[in-house]
Amino acid sequence: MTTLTRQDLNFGQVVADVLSEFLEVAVHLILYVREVYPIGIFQKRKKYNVPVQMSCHPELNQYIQDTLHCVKPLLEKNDVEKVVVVILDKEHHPVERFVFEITQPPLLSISSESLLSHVEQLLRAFILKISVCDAVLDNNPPGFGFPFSSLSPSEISQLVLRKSSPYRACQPLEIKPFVFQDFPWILADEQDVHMHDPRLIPLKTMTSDLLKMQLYVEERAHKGT
Amino acid sequence: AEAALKEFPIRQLPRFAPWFPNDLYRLPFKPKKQPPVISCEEAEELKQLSTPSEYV
Repeated sequence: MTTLTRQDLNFGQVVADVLSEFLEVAVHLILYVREVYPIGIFQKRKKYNVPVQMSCHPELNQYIQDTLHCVKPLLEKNDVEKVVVVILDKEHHPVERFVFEITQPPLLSISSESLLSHVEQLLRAFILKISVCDAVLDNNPPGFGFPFSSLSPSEISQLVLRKSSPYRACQPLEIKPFVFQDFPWILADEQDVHMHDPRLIPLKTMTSDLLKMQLYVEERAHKGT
Repeated sequence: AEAALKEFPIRQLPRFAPWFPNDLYRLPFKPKKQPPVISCEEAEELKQLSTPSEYV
């Protein structure tokens, strides 16, 4: 068995590629399952060898891609603690937060060439759990989503928590500036993060040589209020 | 079938706990831009436009 550091073979980039591709699929599926957008914009695709629903709305797809394009360099540097998909109500208060907690082991024990396919199998389990998570979550408030109303502009937002991000107002992300030229990031509001007395619903935990990830949902106790 | 009915060792279920609990003193970042608003009418138009391509 060979033990490699994260710098060897540019594994940081491999993990960032795998994770950002997975997060894109997961975000589309969350929007579909929780009916944040009308189901008419989604088409069935095959990812990780299972059926998933992906948006075919160009502007929404671009928004998700731009978001994850900015997250990718942070993943490459192992600088992300969690990526959170927040679903907000009309008053811009979170009703659900899908929290992806991520850690990357510093040392990799490469025991077989099937490492990547093993990770793919583990990621498939996350996708399957997201597909069925509506069974354990309460319905979202009336008028919240399809098919009764269009949505206010900020009903989803993605939050990224860096390992080394102390509270400093409006500190820009220190990554290649051109990446963010047309897609700036700002510090989240307290109300984006804070949810009073949330219900925690664990969905999946994975442990592999390449990365460790845990997904849970924070759900507001009284969604209609 | 007898083997299936035999007792087997059960592992202790791990208690779920977030690895990085929320900390209001360390706020995360979010995109300044907001996601698009998509009306049901627009979704319906998109569905009609995209449906034929599925059969190409």
